[in-house]
Order: sequence, then structure tokens, then C-alpha cells
Amino acid sequence: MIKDVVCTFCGNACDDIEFEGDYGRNLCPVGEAKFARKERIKTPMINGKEVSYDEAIEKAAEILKSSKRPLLYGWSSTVNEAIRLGVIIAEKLGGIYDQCSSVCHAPTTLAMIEQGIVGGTLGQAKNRADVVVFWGCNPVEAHPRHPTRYSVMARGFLTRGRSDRRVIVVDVRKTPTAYLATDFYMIKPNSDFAIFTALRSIVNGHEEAVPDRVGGLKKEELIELAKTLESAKYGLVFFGLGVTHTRGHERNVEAVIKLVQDLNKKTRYILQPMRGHFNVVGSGEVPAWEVGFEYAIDFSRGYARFSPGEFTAVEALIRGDCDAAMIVASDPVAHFPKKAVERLKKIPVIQIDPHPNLTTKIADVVIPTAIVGIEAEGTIYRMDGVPLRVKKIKDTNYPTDVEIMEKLLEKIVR
Amino acid sequence: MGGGNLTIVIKPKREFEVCVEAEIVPGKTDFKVYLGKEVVPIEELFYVENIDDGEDRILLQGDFSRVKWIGKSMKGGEIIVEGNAGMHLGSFMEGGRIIVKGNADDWIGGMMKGGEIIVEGNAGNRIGCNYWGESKGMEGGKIIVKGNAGNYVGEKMCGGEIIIEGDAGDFIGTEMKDGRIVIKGKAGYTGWDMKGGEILVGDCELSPSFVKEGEVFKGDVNVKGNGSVKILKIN
Amino acid sequence: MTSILIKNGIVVDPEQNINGEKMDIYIKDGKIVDECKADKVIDANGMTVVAGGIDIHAHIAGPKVNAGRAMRPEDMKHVRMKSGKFRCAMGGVLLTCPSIGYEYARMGYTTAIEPATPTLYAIHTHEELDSIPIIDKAALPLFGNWHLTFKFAAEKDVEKMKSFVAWAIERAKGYGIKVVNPGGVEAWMYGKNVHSLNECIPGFEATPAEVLTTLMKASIELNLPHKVHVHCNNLGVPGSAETTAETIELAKKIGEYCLHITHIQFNSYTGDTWKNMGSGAEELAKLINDNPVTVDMGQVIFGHTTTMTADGPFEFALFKLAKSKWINKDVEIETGGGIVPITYRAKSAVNAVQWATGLEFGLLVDPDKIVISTDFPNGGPFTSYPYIITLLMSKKFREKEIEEKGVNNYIEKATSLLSIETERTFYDIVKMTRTTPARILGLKNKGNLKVGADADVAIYPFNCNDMPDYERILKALENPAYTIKDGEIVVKDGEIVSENWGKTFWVKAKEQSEVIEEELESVFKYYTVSRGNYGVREEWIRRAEAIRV
Repeated sequence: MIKDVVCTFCGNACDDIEFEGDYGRNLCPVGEAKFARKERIKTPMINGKEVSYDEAIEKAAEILKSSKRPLLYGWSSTVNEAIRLGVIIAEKLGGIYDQCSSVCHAPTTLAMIEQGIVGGTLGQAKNRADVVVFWGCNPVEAHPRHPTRYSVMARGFLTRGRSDRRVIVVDVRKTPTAYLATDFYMIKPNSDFAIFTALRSIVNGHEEAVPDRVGGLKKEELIELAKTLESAKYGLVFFGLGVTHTRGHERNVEAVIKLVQDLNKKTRYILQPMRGHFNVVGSGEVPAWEVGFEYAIDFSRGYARFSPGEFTAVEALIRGDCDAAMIVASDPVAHFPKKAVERLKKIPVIQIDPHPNLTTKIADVVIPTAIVGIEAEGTIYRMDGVPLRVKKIKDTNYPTDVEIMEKLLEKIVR
Repeated sequence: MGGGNLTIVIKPKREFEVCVEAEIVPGKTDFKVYLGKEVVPIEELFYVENIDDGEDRILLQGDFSRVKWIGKSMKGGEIIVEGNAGMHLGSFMEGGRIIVKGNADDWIGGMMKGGEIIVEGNAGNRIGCNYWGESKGMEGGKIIVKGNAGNYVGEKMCGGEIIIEGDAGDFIGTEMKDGRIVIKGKAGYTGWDMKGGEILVGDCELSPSFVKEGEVFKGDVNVKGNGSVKILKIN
Repeated sequence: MTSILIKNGIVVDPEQNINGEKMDIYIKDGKIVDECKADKVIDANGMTVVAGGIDIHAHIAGPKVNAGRAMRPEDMKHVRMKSGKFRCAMGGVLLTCPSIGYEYARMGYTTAIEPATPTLYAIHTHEELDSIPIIDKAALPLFGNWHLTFKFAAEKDVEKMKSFVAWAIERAKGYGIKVVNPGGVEAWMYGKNVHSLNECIPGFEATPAEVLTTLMKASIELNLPHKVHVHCNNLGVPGSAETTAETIELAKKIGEYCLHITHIQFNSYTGDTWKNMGSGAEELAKLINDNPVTVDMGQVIFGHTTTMTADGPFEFALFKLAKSKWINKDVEIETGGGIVPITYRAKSAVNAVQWATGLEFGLLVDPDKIVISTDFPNGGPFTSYPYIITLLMSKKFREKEIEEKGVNNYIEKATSLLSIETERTFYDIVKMTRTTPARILGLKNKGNLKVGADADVAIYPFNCNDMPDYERILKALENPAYTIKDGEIVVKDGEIVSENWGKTFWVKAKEQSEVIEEELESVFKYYTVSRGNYGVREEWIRRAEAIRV
């Protein structure tokens, strides 16, 4: 039996999985799906024809080197060691490094640039929190073990579990998570910003600035919610794509950060984004220490320039700001807007991934690799930034992402 | 400051593989032209014609929607963009005038200190804003957009004036400290964390952190701000 | 590996009592040797040859440092070097990993210690240390707010504390014991702070004094090469000088050397409000000189910077004062942290006192007991060490800076700086940047040029026996003729010419984790990381070097 295996599906990165052959104890249903056998890309390909790894890497290097500005995108489902090499490759090529955050939690980074963030580890939910808020997120479906392992029912050093906690869910519909709540507030879609700000006005003693209704909630309900928030000894707000990907985007996050800052003048509060992929945090941390920024980085001048909305993958594709792309462990064809996908179809695309997906169909060069966390080890960061080492639990003939990146870098600086 | 005495006419020669970056300013002919990672001679991408007419002017003919940083840090003279203009038009501008006959992309007049930008069509997001992490947005000068504007207008603005004759998106005058924003049409969220300055808007969704005082709304209460928002529809 | 002869240099090595003697130094296989056949000869005639500099306290790696970078693109956008033969180097005051390695080497520094890593995040800290080129490094894990520390301190159980320290240092692949505001960060979890050494830490029967005393005893009994490295309680507020003096008293009671007080400047203010705050440096310098403690400066540099510390409640107070952005991180039951950008202004009375206080320490404390630091990035950039050294060496330069920067004249009343005539000799400076930090860290092969020492050498283009004026000193210190790391020339005339990868030191103390097995089991029952996944394995580190004690 292999113990303490880290699940490489969601940002929970549960590290208590025990493997007995193909059976993983403690896995949740989505984790099980991740570890279940899936279709693989069998061999490297150039324009659909099977080739050797050397030929595929040579061709990839040739495409990247002859490009005026290649886009290197993906990264949130591989290990930091591969990401680091990817950042260096982007630097040496004079290309763009961007990662999956730019279509999920990048608003959190932008809000942090403006305000910082009052944060903590998931252990704070478990050990200290007596008020836990889920705002625009639905862990029961997206991060299934979150409520039992960290937040709702979890017992900790200074808490006895569910009975010690008031759980508040704020969402536009009654999600499965809402059924776990002490209080559920149904709000109008796209009104998060206004509600956060109204709550902040109340917390700061300015009820007079709040209209009778905000975002579908009556003023009395807002005052009641503000009182509940203030009643915490140690409160924690989890927020998800319902906050970052609705009207307001990073300003929604900034608004909740400012609310939490002001709550800290009365009691203790922290905030935690519910990050999706298991290493989406690492794909921002690594470039930050290597070149200073988390995403949307252009190296065309020989140094790093940060410009979200310009050097983010979707915008760079739509504006025609890149003329080749390398996609690592991601499927932009499935997830990007139509105009961005159209551009991808026009330019040479290299794909590095264990599994075939829609991007495989348009890729000129396809390089299959070992599955991180099953066939390859390395470092990843949980949603709260806690670093974990994912394990190799099965042998494989596929090369790892790190090995491919090393070879590619060698060919590029040669 | 430009000091030139010519009109320089610049026209694209061909389709660009990727967007071009060129800090085109009046009175300067030695600006670099970046095509992705390559620095290319201007003639490779553009026809350039100098007309000795005593003017201090640049005339951009054709489509410049994929040319960024036109008029960056410009100090005087005039740029006329006859078609559309790319991102970062007139950023850090200190003086002179830029006229865009078509539309402008995101980030016009970013952190500008003086001069004038007139866009006759529509403009994108982040007009007169601060760049990432910087503490001051537009400090002086004037931006006029005759069509509609995108999201984020005049963030952390410390002076100068922005006039949008059509509608604007969300977040008008966020953390504004001074200066004036006029939106003749409708806007989304307006005035958040405003510390000072003035916003006039046809209609908007006011941040729920303002208190009515006579004709105007004052706020933002959460930052003990002294900004004023006047909503023309109501008053 | 090439062998090098540094010919006719003027050598300064306080460890060997060598003060400005013309000598030849031989290098082979990364070490200083007696004599060898040299592949390369460096003509060091008229130049000063010293060991590579050692920074005992600089926040250079880990989650806190990186969060600071991510929060401040306006600082990170500064370009120090374009990508080419070497990596692109970015950052203004905060720096990327490549910049950190290059900038230290460009000053003739070859070792730096990251002084605050939560063990839970140690993997991250080591990933960043591994990305810093050239220099040797090590990390100090945080102990001052661990629940287990409080438990063993309350029980005054040195045996268990020893086992816990050895266990956690091994897990973190750390180098020693770091304590930040003991008890204060736990109090911050309740929105509070602790304000004296003798008050109870919320939820525990222990006091900060007991935490410090038990840890100091454990560090002695474990024979750690570097003893307890303390960021005192009450940091950064008027009246902190008193707490610092009391902390020194605790070490005095133990009777042998076991305490390094870090960034002493930030903990040395008198008065009870910001209006009457003054410098306690004169009194504290006497105490330091008379007692078995060492310190580093924590010098403030005028300009903007980003403060970052595990002292969560301090950063919250600073956030309210500076009204700027604020990052906070509460880390399980181990520690916390905060980040706030600030600007030190010469014209501000408070900032001027801070500036002067750091210099007072640099001029008044015995050079065998003080190390130059800015507590990077809290006081300012480490790249200003040449500037600080020049201030310490020249009263004229100090006077010029006060005049030109318009330093608030409140320093005349609140500090003794203006009356200090001392000008540090270069011999003193070599102590304060090489010999003393190496001794405090217990790094025998560092900070000196003895046969067998690591071949980390800096050659500055001036003659220390014939000191030039301060302008030339500053220029020479900023542009070493050569920096040699592990026997390889990495810098020539102030520019990077080659890049190698330094070691990461960690301490393997005698571990008896069975003594604390019950406590560890109870911790991991509720931790969010399994015991098997907690910590760092040696093979994950690029070039780990264990020091066994």
C-alpha cells in the first residue's frame, strides 16, 4: 500500500489517499475519476503522423524559435519543476507566459495588487473558525471533501466541528452547499460587488448610505448578515468563480477584501479563494519568483512585462498578438471564447499533455507525457499555497513534463 | 517640446504577424518598431513620408488598431490617427494632442499628466487609469470620447478631465482623488472608494456607500471620502 | 575546476588577525589552499582581498517574499539585466531569485540566510532558494508561535523542546531557531498582541520569557551552530528598547552565548508615543557589549520598500498607520505573517530616528558583535550595503547625507548620532560583514581566508592601507574587481561573468522524536497535511549540505 498520496485533481490537494493497486482509499468521486484509467495520447505526432520524441521536440523548438511571439499557456496541471523550465523557455524565446488563472482566479491576483489579501491556511478553518462563509462557491460539487476535511464539519485543535460553527452560504441559487448552511442568502446574479460594499458600509457604521434593497436582499437582511459576520471570533470567507467570474470580476474580490480588512478592525477574519486545478497556485508562484509576476508576462523585450488584458492568452489570441502557441496540460480549444480558438486554429500549435482533448485535434505537434501525481512526482501548491510533493505511484514509459521541458530548453538556447 | 517642423505620414505596408509596438511621437523619427521579439526598421512595416510644412504633426493613415503605444510620453505636437488606434494610446502623455477618427483600444491616457486625447469613435477599457499597482491614475490633461467607453474610467484619478459623450461600463472613478469625470450617457457602478473629485453621470448604479447631500451624492463613506457624484437623470 | 592565484593582493582577514598585508592567495577545487599550480593568475596589486560577504538576515525566499512580489508589480517592473547569457533580472527593492543571486555577487557577497520560514511552507522556501544562483544559503524555521513550543515552554521541559526543535529543523531542512514576537502572533489569532515578556500567551500557561528561555537552553544543549535568532516582542513601537533590554537579561541569566537579536534598530525605541519616541541605542549598545549576545543592524534606507515579517499583529498596526495594501497569512498552529508597503522619508521625524538609530548601533557596538543588515526588505534593499558601510566609515559622508537628504533635525534631540566621532576602519567592516556573521552562524569555512576555507573571495579595487575618500570607497564596494564563489570567478568589474549554484546548509541535530511522539501524533490528528507529507527531503534540494551536531 502507498500512503499519503496527494490527489491531483482540485485545489484541495487532499494528501491522505492510500493506494492499494488501482484502488485509492479516501478519494472523492471527482478524485476517483482523475485516477481512473483514461484515454492516452499514444505517441508523439507531427500533423497527425506518428514520430519519435526527438523529432517532435525538434519540430516544436523550430516552431517556437521562428515565431515572432509564441504564447506558452497552461501549466496549472503540472508540477512546479516543469513550470520553472517553462518560464525560462518563455524568457529565452521572447514569448508570452500565461497560465490557467487568466481564465479563473486572476481577478484575485489583480485585487491583491490593489489591496493585498487577508489570508490563512485551510487549517484556520478547521482549527479556529466559528463563522464560515461560502460566497459564490459550491464546494460540495467542486471541492467535495472541503466541508468534511477543512471547513464545515471538520474538528480542529480549538473547535469541535459543525456544532461550533455558523455556516453562511451566499449564492444566486440554492446549491447543494446551501443545504449545509445555518443561513442561506439568495442574491440576484451579478450583484456581489454592491452587496459586499453595502455590508462594508454597515460594518463601518454608515447604514444611511445603504439603499432599501441591494442585489435582491432587503436592508434588514443585510444588517442581519453584517451582525452575523461581526459576531465571529474568527471568521473565514471562502469565495469562488461566482465572485471572480460575474459582473465586477476583480472589483468583486477587491470589495470582499476591503470588507474583510474592515472586519479585522473589529474581530479576526481571513479570506480564501477556492482555487480549481491542483497546481493553479504554483503556476503563479513560480513565475513570480523567477521573473516577478504571476501571469500575463511578455518577454519580447528580453525582460518581463506584466499586462493582464494584453498578454493574457485569450486577449493575446484575439488581438493576434502571438503567432505560435505551446499548450501544456490544458485544453483551451474547449474553454476559450470562439474568437480566441479561431486564432489558435490559424497559428502553429504544440501540445504537451498526457491525454487527448479538443486541443489535440488542432495541434501541429503533439507530445504525450507521464501523468503528474500518478506516473511523475514533483511539487504542487494547494489552494492556500501549502506546498506538497505529489508522488509517482506507477511506472510508465512516457517521459515526464520536466524531461520534455529540459530537452526543449536545451534546443532553444543551443 | 516636439520641436519638429514636418508632418510625418505613416501608412502600414502589410498585415502584421503580431501586434506592433511603436512609441510614435511628433518630432521624433528614430523611435523603435517592435514586431514581437524583433526590432525592425520602420520601412519594413510602414510607408513613411515627410512633408516639410512647418507643422509638428504625425498623420497615421490606415488601420493602426494593432499598433500599440502611439504617443507614449508625448510632450507636444499633434498625432492624427485617421482609422482605429491600438492599446496604450497616449499613455504617460504630458502635452500636445491626439485625435483618433475611429475607435481606440484599451488603456488610453494611462497615467497621463497633460495634453488632450480625442476619440471620435468608441474607446475600450481603462481610460485614464493607473498601471498595475501604481498609486496615481491620470493627473492632468483631458480625454474626450465621443462614442462609448468600456469598463474602468479614471481609476485613482488625481486631476484633469475625462468626458464620455456616450455610455460607459462599470467602475467609474474608483478611488478617485481629484479631477472630473463626465459621462453623458449611462454607466455601471460608479464612485467606489472615491476620496475626492467630481463625477457627473446621466445615470448609473451608485456604489452603496454614498449619502445624498442636496443635489449630489457624497462619499465614499467607507474611506471618509469627499467625492461628489451628480446623477443628471434624478436631479 | 580551475585553480587560481590571487597575486600581491592586500589581504584583510580578522579571523587570522591579518590587517592589510600583501599576500598571495591560492585557490583549488573550490577551497583556499596553501599553494598550488595556478591555471589563472589574478593580479591584485593595489587591491584589497577579503572573504565573501555574509548576510545573516535577509528575506530572500519563501511564501511571504513571493506574495510581496506578486502584490507589487510596480516594484518588480524595474529591469536590472536583460535576458542573454544569463537570466533576466527584475525588481526594484524586491527582487526575483535570479536578481538576488546576481546582486549579492555583484557586491562581493556569497552567503545569505533566509530568516523566517514556516515549516509547513519549507518546501516552497527551498524551491526559491534553489532558484537563487551563485550564493550559499540557509533557512531558519519559525518556532516562536508554535503550539508545541508553548506547551513545552509552559512545562519548562527542555528535553522535549530539544527533541521538537531537532525534529522541526530536520523536517524544514532548516539551519536554526527563529523566534518572532513569541506569543504575539498567537494572540493575533484573537485580534490581540502580547506587550511584555511576562504576560500569558492566550490559551497557554506560558509567557514569552519562558518560550525564549526554554528555546535558548535547547539550542545550547543541542549544540546548534547558530543559537536562537530573535525578533523581539513589541517590535517597531516606542518603548521597545525596554523589552529588548529585558530580552538581553534573559540571555544573561543563562550565562553563555545563546541569543542573536536581529534587526535591533527596529526594537530600540524609547518614549511612549510617536511624538516623544527616541533612540535607545546608546544604552542597548552598552548592554550588548557587556553581555553574551550578538545583533544585526536592521538599518533603514530612505525610500520606498515592502515590509514583511512573521509578526502578524505588527503588520496589521502598520497597515492601519500606512493605509496601504496589506497581506496577512495565518499559518495553522505554527506562525503567521504580514506584508505592507511603506516609504521611509528623511523629513519624517520617526523615520529619521530609525535611520540614525541603526547607524548608532553600527558605530557603538563592538564589531565582534554586530553584523550589517537592512533586514531586507524591511529596512530597505540589501544592495545598499556599500552605502551603509561608507556611512559607517566616514563622518563626512554622514554629514553630507544628513544635509543633502534633509534628514529631520529631531535626530539631534532623539539620538546620539551627531555626537559620534567614530569612523569604522575597513578591518572593522570586514568583521561586521564576514568574520562576525560567520562566527554567529557557526560556519567555520566561511568569512575567512584560512587554508581549507571555502574559496568565496571578494577583491575590491582600492588599497585599504591607503584609504581613499568616501566617494571612491562607495564606488569600489559597489563594483568589486572580482567575486569568486566556490573557486570560480563569477563577477568581474562589477558585472556577472559566470553563474554557478551554491549550497543550501541545514543542521542535522540529534533527534529523539520518540520523546515527543505523543505530542506529534496529537498535532497531526488535526493538521491539514499528513505527517508523511510534512517537510522536505534532502534529495529534493539542488545542493544540500548537512551540518551534523
